[in-house]
Amino acid sequence: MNSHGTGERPQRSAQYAHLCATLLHANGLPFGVPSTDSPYAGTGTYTPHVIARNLTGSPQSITPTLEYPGASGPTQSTLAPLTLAPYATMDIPLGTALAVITTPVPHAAIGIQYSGAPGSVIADVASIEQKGELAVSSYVENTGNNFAGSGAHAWHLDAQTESILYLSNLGNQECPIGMRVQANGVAYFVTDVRLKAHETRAISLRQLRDAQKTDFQGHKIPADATDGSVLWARLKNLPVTGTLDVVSDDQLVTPEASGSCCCPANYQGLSLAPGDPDVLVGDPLQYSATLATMDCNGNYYYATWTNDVTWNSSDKTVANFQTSGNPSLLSALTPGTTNVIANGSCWEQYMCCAGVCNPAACVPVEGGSTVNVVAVSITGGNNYVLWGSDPNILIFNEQQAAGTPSGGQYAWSASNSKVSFNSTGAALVTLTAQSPSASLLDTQLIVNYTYNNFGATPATRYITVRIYKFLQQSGQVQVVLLNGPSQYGYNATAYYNIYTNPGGQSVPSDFSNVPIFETVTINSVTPSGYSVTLHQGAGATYADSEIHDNLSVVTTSPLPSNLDINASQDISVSGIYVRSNTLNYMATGPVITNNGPFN
Amino acid sequence: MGWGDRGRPYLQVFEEKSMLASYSSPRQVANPGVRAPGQLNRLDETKHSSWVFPHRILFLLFAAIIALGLRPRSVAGSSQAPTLNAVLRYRALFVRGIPLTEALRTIGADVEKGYISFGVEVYVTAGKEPVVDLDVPPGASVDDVRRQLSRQLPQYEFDIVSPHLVSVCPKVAMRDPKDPLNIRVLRFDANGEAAGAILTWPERFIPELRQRTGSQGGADNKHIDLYVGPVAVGTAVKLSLRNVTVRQILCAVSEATEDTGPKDVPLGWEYSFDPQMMFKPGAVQSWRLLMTFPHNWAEQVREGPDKVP
Repeated sequence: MNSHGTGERPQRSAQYAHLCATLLHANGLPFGVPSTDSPYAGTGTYTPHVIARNLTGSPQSITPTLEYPGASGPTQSTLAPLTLAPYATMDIPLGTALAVITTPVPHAAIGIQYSGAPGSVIADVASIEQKGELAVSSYVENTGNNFAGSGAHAWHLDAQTESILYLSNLGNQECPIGMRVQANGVAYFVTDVRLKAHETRAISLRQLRDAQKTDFQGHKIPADATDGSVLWARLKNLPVTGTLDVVSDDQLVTPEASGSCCCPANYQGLSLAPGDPDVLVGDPLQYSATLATMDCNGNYYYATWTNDVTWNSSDKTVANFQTSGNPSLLSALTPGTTNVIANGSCWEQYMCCAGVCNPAACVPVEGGSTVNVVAVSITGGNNYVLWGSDPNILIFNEQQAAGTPSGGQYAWSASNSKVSFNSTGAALVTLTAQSPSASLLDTQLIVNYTYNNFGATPATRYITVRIYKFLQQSGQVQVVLLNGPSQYGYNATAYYNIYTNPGGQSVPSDFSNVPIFETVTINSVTPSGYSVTLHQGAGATYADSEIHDNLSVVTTSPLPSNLDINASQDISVSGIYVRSNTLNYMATGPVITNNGPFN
Repeated sequence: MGWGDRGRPYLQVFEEKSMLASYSSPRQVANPGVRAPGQLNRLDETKHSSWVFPHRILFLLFAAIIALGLRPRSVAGSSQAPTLNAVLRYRALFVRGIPLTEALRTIGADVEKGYISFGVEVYVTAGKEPVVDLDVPPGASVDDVRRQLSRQLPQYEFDIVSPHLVSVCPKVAMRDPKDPLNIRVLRFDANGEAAGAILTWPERFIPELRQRTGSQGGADNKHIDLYVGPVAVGTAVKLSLRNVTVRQILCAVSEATEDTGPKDVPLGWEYSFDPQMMFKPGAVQSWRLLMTFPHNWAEQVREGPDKVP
């Protein structure tokens, strides 16, 4: 870059001649009576002058064009052509344009189209106040200089001084600009400057400083900064020029010309925000993309690139972008993980050698982000747990949660103290009943799930703490007679289903190994004279969850026909008393009388 | 149906080394004493005065066991009986007039950490066990309750058999030669039989006991075996014992159910009869599995039965 911040007029080198076009351009000029938002407001009435020199021996046609901010965007107004004699220098006052632009404008730019070969006309442009007290000159750039497109300027602000950066897009397409303001050791990035075709944008350093708006890195221009520098770079291969005007009351304006060549900003990466977010199902997520570039001096420039990329999700079932409206708005649909990918047009990298820069490669512009849609649900277990001390009952009291993505932390709790957990921090937990429910589903289980310190919406389940309450006989008592010769009597079996409270539900199938304990008392033996040995078994439920209660009489001689052994039987399930029977062991089989409880 | 996996290796294996069996416990104990399987151990007099055992009997036992060639083993002392020091659950227990075995089951169910089993011989009168009151404050230990019961039933002894097994029996029963539990058995072999089956119907496995019970029916064979309840199963037991009493056999079987797999529970036993009716027509005696594992047993064995104190 030449003459950054020095005000020196750079001279075109012959070696760049092949880059030049037949259009010259100058910006940042006050025109007529500047509007109130102009840094030249109230300083007079200005007439631009173009001082052009024909470097050839042939006459050339000169056509000035005024560019200014119009009501509907950048506006151009082409003036009548003039003839420039061979080797002649001509001062072309553009006073006639005052009649063309009837509304005051803050500033204007001037294009100078000439008819000769590229580089055959050079020019200076200045806007002169009518009283002759003030002249504002501007740097003139050849629009064919494709590597004009970056600049570095010093700025100053005080009570009497303003600093205005004028950036002009000489191309026919919109051009993004990377810009950084440095002051007091802080680098502040302006990422949203986009110049429309042929637009000249005036950027007030004072307004930028006083806005105290944080940039994408969270920085602000120090509020008390009075001096600093501003660097800018075009981020598209379009001709862009820049001028920094330092305007001081009653003082001559000092224009700071842009640099011109050979230090293009090259692509460094595309970052997405948010980076790797964790969201809930249903959450919208607004994405943005920021382009990072670096010039040959190691200066980084950034630009908002959100609308310059296409947005895609690797798993559209997990999260997807809107197909219309806001294309960078992601919707989280189902639990899981997806990769967000933003793709932009490839970036033309330039290689510079001995002052000449040429396109070298087209680098893909791509950024990525991982989105975790975090959720938890209770995926296994019953909506009840059973009271009891059965060593095998616990597998029926398990609750299973599944958090997505995996690898997070679980936290179980209950709405009351009717149950306890073997562990509150596992996906699979076992509940132990501490006290039975008073009503159905009166206990709420809650499982929280945290992934990357992001909490999912808790999953809940209502359960009932069921306690064994009563037995109901299932089918008939089965009797197998023993008819000797060594044993007489019978082997009989009664079957019971177990019911629980509250609600009275039966214990479902597969509840095997629930402990069964009985207390039996023999009340009377008929006929008298028989001695009896009572064998009281204890065991557990079968796979069908039934109690198979053995009621057998064994002796070494045939049973007397009038046999009647009367006994009381209390049955407990898992330590809970559930049934009282009167048993009568008769000669042909047992008779069971249910004494309750019945429900 | 049942507790335990029938296909797993037996939990206790005793090798017969000579005519006299050598008894080896799966647990190594630091305080050597002398005890046959299932034999009662007496606690330190100064610490457990209600468990005092006459010194002469201790001496006789010592001499008898030496004579039998049994390997010394003891769990005497509360440090080897962790369950005695176990604290019952936070709740207070206040129960009046419940049968002794019901009280023992209530205590066992309330142990907060660890477990306790009982081998109980109880005299009944008119079919009724002696009754006791439980007045257990929060934080009481198993030993506190044991002392309480000893005071209420001074005619009964409460003796530690193993770290988890306590024997309860009338004091006179130990010295009563007619007591079926004192029948001496020259040889007892269990080869994988279910512990519950042995403890529920020991006559089927101990011929000497069957002979005694059968004789109660007199010449007319007026004796009936009555079975009630689920088919008792439990840990498969492999034991080989020599010259032991029925009581010792039952305690050894109970001990074999300790530290078993997660699908098993420790089993105790109960033998009850009316001593006034012994060997008389119309006598009734009862064998019963006594399950006294605690309410939180399942939680405890989750970490492995060997981790249960």
